[in-house]
Order: sequence, then C-alpha cells, then structure tokens
Amino acid sequence: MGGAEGFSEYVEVRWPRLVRSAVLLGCTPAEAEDLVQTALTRCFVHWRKVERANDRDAYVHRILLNTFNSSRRRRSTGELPTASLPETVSADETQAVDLADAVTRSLDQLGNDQRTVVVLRYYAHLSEQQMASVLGVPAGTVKSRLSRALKALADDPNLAELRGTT
Amino acid sequence: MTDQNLPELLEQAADRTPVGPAPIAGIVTGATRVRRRRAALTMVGAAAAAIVGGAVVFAVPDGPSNPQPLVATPEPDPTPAGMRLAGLGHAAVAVPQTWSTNVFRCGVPMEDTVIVDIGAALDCNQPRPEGVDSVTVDQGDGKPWRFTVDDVIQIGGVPAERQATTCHLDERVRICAGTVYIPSMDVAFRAESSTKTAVDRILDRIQIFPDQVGVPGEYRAKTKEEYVEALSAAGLTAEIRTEQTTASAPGYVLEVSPVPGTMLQPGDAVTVTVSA
Repeated sequence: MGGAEGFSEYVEVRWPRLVRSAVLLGCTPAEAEDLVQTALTRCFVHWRKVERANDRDAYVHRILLNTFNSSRRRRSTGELPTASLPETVSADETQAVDLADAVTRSLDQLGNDQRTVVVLRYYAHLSEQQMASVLGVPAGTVKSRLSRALKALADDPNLAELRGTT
Repeated sequence: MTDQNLPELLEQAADRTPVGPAPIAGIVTGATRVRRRRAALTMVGAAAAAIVGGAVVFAVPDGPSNPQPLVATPEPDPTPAGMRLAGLGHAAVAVPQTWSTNVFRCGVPMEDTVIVDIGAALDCNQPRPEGVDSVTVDQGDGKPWRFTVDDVIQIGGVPAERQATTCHLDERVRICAGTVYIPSMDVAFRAESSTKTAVDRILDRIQIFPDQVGVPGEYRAKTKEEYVEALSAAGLTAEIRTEQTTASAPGYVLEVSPVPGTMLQPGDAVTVTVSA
C-alpha cells in the first residue's frame, strides 16, 4: 500500500506542528495530541482521497478543525462532563508572564473564528485560498476575518509591550 | 504587533509545548479498524482484505523518534536510553527508567509504575490519582477480563491481539486504557493513562526477546516450591535465603530479587527470600 508510506512520512514531519496548532487553538497539550491523533486517523481512513485532493495540508487541517469543533461542541453542552477541566487558559496564567503567555492570552481574547484564521495563516502558514477551502467560506470572508483578528490583536493590551520591543 | 512579527510570536508560543513522537502505529491501527468496520458494513470483503493485508506489513520507518517497528523483525530494537524493560516470558515493554515496579494500593497504581503479575488484588474503591501512567503485565491468566480483539498485529513476528484504546471517566478522573494480548505466550499488557496517545505509545514499545525471560511475579501467595517451579518453568534458577518472620507462615516467599518483570538471560539466578 503505497499510500501508507506516504502517510507515515507525512505524519512524521507534520505531527509536532499539528499538535502545536491544536494547542494554539486552545487545547491543553494532552488534549491536542489526542485530537490530532483522532484527526489523522480519520485522514488515514480516506488517505487515497486526501492524496488525490492535491492539497493534503488543507484537507488535514479541515479534518483537524472539524474534530476540534465537534470536541468543543460536546463540551459546551455538558454531555461529557470533564472532571478536571484542564483548560489551557488558567494553567498558563499561573506561569510567569512571558512572551508566550502574552501571545496565548491574546489568542484567548479572540473569538473562535478569528483565532482559527490567525493560527491557520500565521502558524500553519496556509494561504488565504487554502484557508477558504479549509473553512468552507469565500476567500473574502477569510480576508475580513483576518483583518479583524489582526486589529483585535493590535489593540490587545497583553501585546502592548511586545509592540514596543519589535 | 504586525503580521510580520506575528508568525514569530506564534512560533515561540507554540515551541513551548513539548511534543512526543507521532503515534503512527496507533493511528494506523485505528484507521484499519474503521476501514474494516466500514468494509464489513458495505460488504466489500475483497477491499477489506487488501487493506488488512496492507496494514499488517506496513513498516514504520526506524529512527530515534520511532523506537518500535511494526513490521516483523527477528531482532528486537535496543532499549532506548532512559528506558528499562519489564516483562514476563519473552515479551517485554520498555518503560521510562523513572517508573517504579508494583507501587499500587488495592490494585490501583499510585504513581507511574509497572504492575507485574500481582494476582488478585483487594478492591477497596481506591481512586486512581490523576496523570498516572501505568502498564500491567500478566501471564498465565488467559485472555484478560472483557478483552475484545479489535485488531491482530505482529510483534517481532509473533501474532498479538490488540484491544482498541478507549477512555472513560472514573471517579471524575479520565482513564484511557488499551490492551495487547499475546496468545502464544499467554502474556497480557494493559496500559492506562489520561490520554489515548500515551496509551498507544506505551503499547507500541512492546517487543519480543527470544533470548531473555522475565522474572515471574505473584510471589506473595506462593510457597517456596510453587515459586521455584515458576522460576524453572521460565528457565531461571533459584537461590534460596530464609528469614525469620512472624509476618508470614513458614515456607512462603517474602521477596524476590531482582524484582518481578526484570528481563534476565535463561539460567540466571533469582534470589528468593523465604519465611522460616
């Protein structure tokens, strides 16, 4: 099965970045690994289709986001009571204030849509065209979400000091 | 804060998250199961067979991030640095050196630990602490309780049955568990952790060591004769020491050294301390 080798190479290379993308989207590191594993399992089920899709990154990110959104949906309706509620937000805030915390906190301020476009564009490095296909929205919508997200980040006091240093 | 430095900031924030090796074997196993289920549903038998065949011989590339090959290899990989082996018979799992052996209360692990063949444990509703990783190794008990065969895999050329990793909430602690059972050796490995990925990673580190054998466990309930018999069945020899104690009736095993689960060469001696 030629696809299997291609898949394991792909996973090998992309695993850390995918897990970290999930963390930037708001998962705890442990959640992120499970989420990416679930998403990649789904991708591998249809790997031939993914390879045919010509744009594996866009496809994989779409599955990742769908998996992420459905996990959030379940949590918000309270069907799956999570005992310890290991949300990243509070854990991070107890740590020393540093650059990474400021970034995470300012991402937390963004809405889900805006956070997603920021992570896809500036961490996963997808193009606006790819993001449009990942999110299933027109490219114009991607642009407007991005510019609103950037504006929100620019106004974020958490990043105020960083603005001065860069 | 411009879009020039945003990628850099995100990169730095993201780098703070340590990421383990990709659990490729776990992903492939999971996907194979889904495909098989779907194939069975749509009655496309031939397609399913092709996929099953493909997955079994599917090799994970060797490398520092991938200590375990899925493909049948006669020679086991060297144990990675910082890891030790724990097993029974010729099957062993590599666990971090920091893990203890048999640290449990009422059968429930109290820290990251390997539980080797403890036999029946008293159930006292001991809750499992959060964030504890453990693997339980048992031999000679037959198929584990409530075991289902979700996949058949090969470990070092030996067929093994895999129960899929599932998670549940127990006393508000999330526990994920998966099991590997090797029928030809009657050895079972059950890994438990708070995430699926961690469980799959532990179970991926099971290997077969044709030249080594694990020190048998469950010694506390055994008389000297019973334990020595278990040792010689495993190909090990016994060095008997006696100790005066009131804690146990005479003739029972108090302690064995090295600890159960240690992998030895056949013929090696195990020191057995017996109550007098």
